[in-house]
Amino acid sequence: MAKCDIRITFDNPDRSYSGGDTVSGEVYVQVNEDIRCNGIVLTHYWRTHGRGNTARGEKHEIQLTDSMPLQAGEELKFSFEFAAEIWPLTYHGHYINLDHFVHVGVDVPWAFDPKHEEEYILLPGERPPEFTGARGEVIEFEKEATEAKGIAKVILFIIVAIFLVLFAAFAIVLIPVLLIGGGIYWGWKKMIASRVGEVELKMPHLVVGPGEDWPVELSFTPKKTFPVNGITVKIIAQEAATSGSGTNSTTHRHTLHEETHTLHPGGSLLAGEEFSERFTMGFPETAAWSIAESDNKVTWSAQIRIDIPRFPDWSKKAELQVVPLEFLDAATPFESEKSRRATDHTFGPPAAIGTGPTPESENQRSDSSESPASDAAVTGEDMAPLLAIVNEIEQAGRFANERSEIVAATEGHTYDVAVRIDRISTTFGFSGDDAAFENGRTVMGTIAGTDQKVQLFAVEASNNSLDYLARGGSWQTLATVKTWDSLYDRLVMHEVPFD
Amino acid sequence: MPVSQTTYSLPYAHLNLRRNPFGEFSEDERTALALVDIEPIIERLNNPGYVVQFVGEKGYGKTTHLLAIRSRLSDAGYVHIPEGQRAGLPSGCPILIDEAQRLTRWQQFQVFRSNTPMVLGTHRDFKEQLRRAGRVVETIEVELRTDADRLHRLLNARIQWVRRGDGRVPSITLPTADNLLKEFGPNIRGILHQLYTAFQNLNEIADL
Repeated sequence: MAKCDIRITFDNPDRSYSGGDTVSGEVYVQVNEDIRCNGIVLTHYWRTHGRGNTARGEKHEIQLTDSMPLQAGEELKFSFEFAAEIWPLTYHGHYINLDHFVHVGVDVPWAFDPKHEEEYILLPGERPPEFTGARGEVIEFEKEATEAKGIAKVILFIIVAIFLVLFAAFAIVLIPVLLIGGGIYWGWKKMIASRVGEVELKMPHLVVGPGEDWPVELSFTPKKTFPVNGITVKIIAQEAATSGSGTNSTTHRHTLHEETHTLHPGGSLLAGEEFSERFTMGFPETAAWSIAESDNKVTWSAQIRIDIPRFPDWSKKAELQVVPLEFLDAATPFESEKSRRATDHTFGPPAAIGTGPTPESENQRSDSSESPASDAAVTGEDMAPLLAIVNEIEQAGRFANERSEIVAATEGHTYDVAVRIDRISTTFGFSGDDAAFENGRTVMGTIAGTDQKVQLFAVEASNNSLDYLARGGSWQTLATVKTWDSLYDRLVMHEVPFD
Repeated sequence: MPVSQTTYSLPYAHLNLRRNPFGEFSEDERTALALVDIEPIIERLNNPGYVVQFVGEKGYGKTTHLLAIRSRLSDAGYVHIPEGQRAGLPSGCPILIDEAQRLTRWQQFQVFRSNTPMVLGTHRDFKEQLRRAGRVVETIEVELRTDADRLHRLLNARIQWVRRGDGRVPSITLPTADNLLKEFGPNIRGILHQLYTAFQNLNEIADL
């Protein structure tokens, strides 16, 4: 039997706290044999676990009691409270997990210390001071610098300087090799430039929140007419966990997310005709925050590629930093760029290859602003049938198939719906049969008057009316219930086009 | 509700565990969980001039043996020589050197010719050099020390180590341990990786 049994309880039964919240609870120490203790200390910290070497954060100590004798049979109770850290947040992935812990240890001289630890869950809360609203570059969190690390850096600098001096003496031997390598690289770049010219790529938001609109601007003027298989952007999230060190080290990688958006379909780009487009795509919903510990990394990246058949592709990759929306300014890129979008025809296919918006589709857009669906207020009575469905879903067990059956029963019905908007993004890669949705908008939000989440695919003809709506606004239309998304517990609906 | 407010559950609570038992453990944890028969070696390390070398590929358990011996001998001096680096020879008795194949020639000369009992973890067999230096050498090929029964105990000890509370936890059966040994041989690291993935996909408590 252990000298003491330790139990830790939290005042919040589900142990979930937002950054900066007060974490409070009790520590119970059941003493099993007489001992002299040098103190009982509560420590809180974060630590990774999984396939990588353990990374851990700074330990914060709270002395629960000083030195005292403990007698068998007594039970001690201590209350504790401390402010939760604000970063990093709890993360449970495949190879990497990050948890926050409360640890209690009884210091017993000349013996093993009884100890116990429990996790608590840290959710987004206070915004870390590093986040100032700037999104143009990845934000580095200040590491807990130690004097030893500072000295190590100086030593490393001296070693590198010595190496460079020695290298310079032998560089003459390497010059031909470097020249050949450099020549090949230069030739490669020149070949690509001979087709696409100078490419200007802007990714103004390298810091991005889940589900946000993520803008990209791409412009270039082809020097020659050439075919393209497409212009794409690939968003990749990956875990990289390294275990061991040196030759004994192994890095385990796991792809968390990979999706490719086609910014521009295949066709020909014409010499001298400027390709200048601004795109906005919905960033994936995720809780896989960027982590940049040396042996535990969760990385997000975006790779833009101009895919030229039988020729080197132009591509560029940028590291993104995914953080909770709470850490970002309220103004989303969608809101700030709305007016420009309308004038720049951001979402229309480029005119350079002759697949731009047709007069018909332009007419459809202007018509849509007059659609009765967007003008007429949907009353509670109108919404009653849909609300009944929502009520049924809420009553159903949390098993996906039960809810899916309710949704399946709605087939063939059209519902009035009012959506309280969380965000609106461009629909890319619509998988359904109806082409009317392909260049439309995806509305994320809740059914007005309920907490029921909904994802509503709107037809392209509604773009104009939707582009003037912001988060918190309301939008009404007619829609069918398509499916139940068990991953996000939300209804998926398709707008019924106004004829 | 934004996904950033997703409600998490406690890690691996559905398996009554605190974490995946086949993830990377700290040195202290590996020492605590070492299931190696070191008693006869501990005794022989009292003899001056005695050297035991654990020889084998990476991931086969050399370091585990050394850590287990170190935990039993408070006066032992231990060093792990990282790749591409030099490390000083430790003081203490006995001397434990992990990755001994990375010793410089001068260090080999120094330490092999001393009379201090020594434990080596190495990819390279130093038997001849040690004998020429007048040492009494015992060579243990770590891969021969792994059998299904030992592996079975080792894997379940890991599971028990990360137990969350009373009650049932998943377990590894002896036939599974036997099959893993047939598939991976003595490559413990490969076995752990296989089981890590299996536990990631485990939705409920079960015997594997």
